[in-house]
Amino acid sequence: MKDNFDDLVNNLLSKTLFEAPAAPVEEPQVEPQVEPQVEPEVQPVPKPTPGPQRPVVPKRHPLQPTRPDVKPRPQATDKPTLGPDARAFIKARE
Amino acid sequence: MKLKEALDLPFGGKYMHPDKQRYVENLPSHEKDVVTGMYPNLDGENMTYLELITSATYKSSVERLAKYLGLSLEAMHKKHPSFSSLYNIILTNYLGTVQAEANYKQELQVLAVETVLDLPEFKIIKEMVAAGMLKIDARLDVPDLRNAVTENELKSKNGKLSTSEKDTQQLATEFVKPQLDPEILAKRSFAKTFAQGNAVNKFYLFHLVEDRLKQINPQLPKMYGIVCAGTTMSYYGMPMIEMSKSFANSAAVGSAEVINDGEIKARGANFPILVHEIVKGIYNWLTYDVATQKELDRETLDQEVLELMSGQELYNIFLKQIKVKDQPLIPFIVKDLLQHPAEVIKKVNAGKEEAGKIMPLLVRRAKITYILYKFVDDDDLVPQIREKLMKMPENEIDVIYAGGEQAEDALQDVINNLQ
Repeated sequence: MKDNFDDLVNNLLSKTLFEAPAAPVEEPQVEPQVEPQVEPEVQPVPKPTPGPQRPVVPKRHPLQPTRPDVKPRPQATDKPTLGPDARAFIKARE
Repeated sequence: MKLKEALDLPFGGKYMHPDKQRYVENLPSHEKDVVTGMYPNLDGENMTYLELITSATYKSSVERLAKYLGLSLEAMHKKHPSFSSLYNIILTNYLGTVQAEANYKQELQVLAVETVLDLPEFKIIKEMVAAGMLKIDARLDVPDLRNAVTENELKSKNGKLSTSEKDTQQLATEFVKPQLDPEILAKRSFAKTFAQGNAVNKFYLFHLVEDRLKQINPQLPKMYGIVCAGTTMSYYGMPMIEMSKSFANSAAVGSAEVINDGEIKARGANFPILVHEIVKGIYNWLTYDVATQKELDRETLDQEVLELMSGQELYNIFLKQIKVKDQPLIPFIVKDLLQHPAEVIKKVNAGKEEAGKIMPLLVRRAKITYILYKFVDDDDLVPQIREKLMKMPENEIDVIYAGGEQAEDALQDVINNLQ
């Protein structure tokens, strides 16, 4: 049982959960040419100095939802003993 | 074959309706399929884990109610031999809270949000609200369930496809029998049960602001206690009722809705219910993106019954695995946990030894995620820094996570040593 669990932990988790994730393989980005006659040279953007400071440019917070395309349904707190029809409900039960 | 009835309830579960007891012990197949994916020791007819956490949640609810009524467990069961004899006490106190709050709604709405966000668990959420990344619209008002759905409605919809839906055979088939991903169902079920259990615990946050509440009405905290514990008992005491939209509207005293990826709408009939809804809303906002719209559309008000009856203990099992100092990381941990196979959630829910191997690693990952967001400005460096941090000893991670000058030096060292 223990061996099974250890195997499970190793197989399921070691790669996905605990190893440093590999850098994502990205397709080479092609800079879109807006207008051919526009000055082709793009000034390199200076990299911000890394360090323990707040980022200057807002970035996505890791807690922010990643799927703006979906929406959950509302949840309720149902208390038949307290809702607007509580008295009627209680009366019916009595 | 079911080996034993495992629901173990004080005083024979006098306040638990037989319908509810039968429901937990013999879950309908559609519920069972979902919870089997996230609970350990649930296979065939064996419902042990679910019965254990439901029993524990029931027990703590009964104990709380006795405490607020100023009675021993024995005395309460003697004085109130059935749940129905508690109705009037709960209702009277509830009406008392609504009346007492009537002239202080504005103040209490603000206080409800502050009380939640001042908890260590919501420290990061508070930062996000302050930074305008998240808005919490909380009001002492009637619930808004316009966008909610019941099992009943879903069933009736199945037989009534609109003309446009019939036009496409594929769409019609999908509508009648949507192909839902069991992994996602299990994850969402965990997320919702965790949120409900957490929110039930947070009913009692009013104790943190008791002094301010007593200025409104010295009896408020006691009334809140009876209402919260009593209504928690109603999860068990009420019979199984097939939910309809009109019933839900007539019975509801609170609602929580994610309006968009940056806004939560919470409505509650009184202060503790509003607090409860804010907590539910935050966790729903944190976790809904694990699902597609198809799975989210299958989430009904009816499913909340089981979540409410068992969630508190599920949350307690989770919370026990996290050191107090690490509580601000809980939102990160929950969000991260949902990114991994449901089998991992099952192990975490099991608690004890199995979870003991997983949770420290989730906490570590949460710290690193926080460090990378908070302290690293250059996105290009994030993968390399993450790799370095993953290999660092725990005490060194903690130094950076704590922030300050020492953290700055330590992180700079990491950056200087990048390839």
